[in-house]
Amino acid sequence: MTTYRDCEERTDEELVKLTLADQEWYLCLMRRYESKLSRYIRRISGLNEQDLEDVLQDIFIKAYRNLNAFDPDLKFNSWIYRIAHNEAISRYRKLKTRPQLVKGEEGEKMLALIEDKGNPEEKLDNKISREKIQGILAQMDLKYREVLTLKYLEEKDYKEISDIVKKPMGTVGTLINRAKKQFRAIANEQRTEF
Amino acid sequence: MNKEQNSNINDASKNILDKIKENKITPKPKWQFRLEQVGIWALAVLSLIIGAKAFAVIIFRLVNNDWEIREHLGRSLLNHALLTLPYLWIIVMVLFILLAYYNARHTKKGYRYSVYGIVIGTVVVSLFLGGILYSTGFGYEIDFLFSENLSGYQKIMPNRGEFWSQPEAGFLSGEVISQKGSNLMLRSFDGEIWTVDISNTNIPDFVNINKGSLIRIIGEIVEKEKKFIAKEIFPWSAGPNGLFGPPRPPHFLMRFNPYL
Repeated sequence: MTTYRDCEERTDEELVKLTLADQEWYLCLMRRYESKLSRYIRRISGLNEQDLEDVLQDIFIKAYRNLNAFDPDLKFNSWIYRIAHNEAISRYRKLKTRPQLVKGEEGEKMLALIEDKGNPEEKLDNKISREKIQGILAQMDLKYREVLTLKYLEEKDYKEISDIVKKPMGTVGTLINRAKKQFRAIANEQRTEF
Repeated sequence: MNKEQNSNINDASKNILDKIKENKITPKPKWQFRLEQVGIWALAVLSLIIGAKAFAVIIFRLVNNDWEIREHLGRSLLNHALLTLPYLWIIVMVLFILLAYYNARHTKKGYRYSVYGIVIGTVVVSLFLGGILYSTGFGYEIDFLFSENLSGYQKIMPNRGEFWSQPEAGFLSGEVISQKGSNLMLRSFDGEIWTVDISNTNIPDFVNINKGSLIRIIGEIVEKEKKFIAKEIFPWSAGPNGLFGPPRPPHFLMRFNPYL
């Protein structure tokens, strides 16, 4: 019998090894990532609760099936996010839902991080509302939205984002810069409209 | 986990685990993933090798591009190059370099490297390997193999054999049978026996006219005789010889001669 304490004391990588020997341990991994992945999928794809549950199930089953493909050189976190990313994007493309990227104070937090402090000309109106941020993000290209979400909402570093979206770190850096520019451009455009 | 602890766990995770058990889902064996990676790497390496072989033939074809006749034909350097470039092999090389790039990119950690890095890497490796293959005679052998065995190859590629079998136009080629004084006995690639007068021919040191040598001759035909007055003589094939000895005559031409 595995207990909560058993789960808490183990690293992801240890839990993968244990799961391969006894599937009961997989519950620890799922429990650890369930809420993180749900939030991430919602942000990136805007699925409703029912679809979200289905996607989450697909992700965990796919991860379980491919557990032997997990490379310990990679963080498990990045690996499972990669699977989640692919599933979420594929479901998003099918349904073309409206992403629910920000909630609560996340909007301000994200705005503060995206703000280019070194370039006053590109500064945004700090009074941009949460709803507007939601609208801006929803209008962004998917490739930019996903890196922005991973960087500023999931707080992943470049190496992790590179492993999740399977792109070189240099490309990730370029995508984030372009994403910020697009975010500012849409934000400024919207401000003039109001 | 015990019941009390399970109750704290979100049902979704528990339901997924139940589904895994119910459907008897198991992790795919490690060897499948290894095999997949080995396959991708093998394809990448194979593509590189094919690209390299194509490059070896390109060098061979460029070296043996009959640059000497350019002026006789009144072609500019660019014009001659464009007319005789081995386009087929250039396309093959580009295709396989792209395939090597695609496979390298799809290896386990291929995504970590920049696109330019992988492209430049595959091109450099292909060219380097191709240079080595050319210097060992592979370029000649592959070209010969295709010329002799693949119908249609001669139509796509610039056909040297046919070009150098136009004595009326001043171009003759073949195998030296013997030398008597200032006359060479030559068996052309279409099987005819010719007497070649070399009394007023400047023959460079690197040109071998011994028995069995394959040569190209620019000169003029003597009317109504199987005689040819040579002005310039060149070896049939320049660069490294084939893997299996000196260059061989292009047999495909002989097939078209009903008297042979």
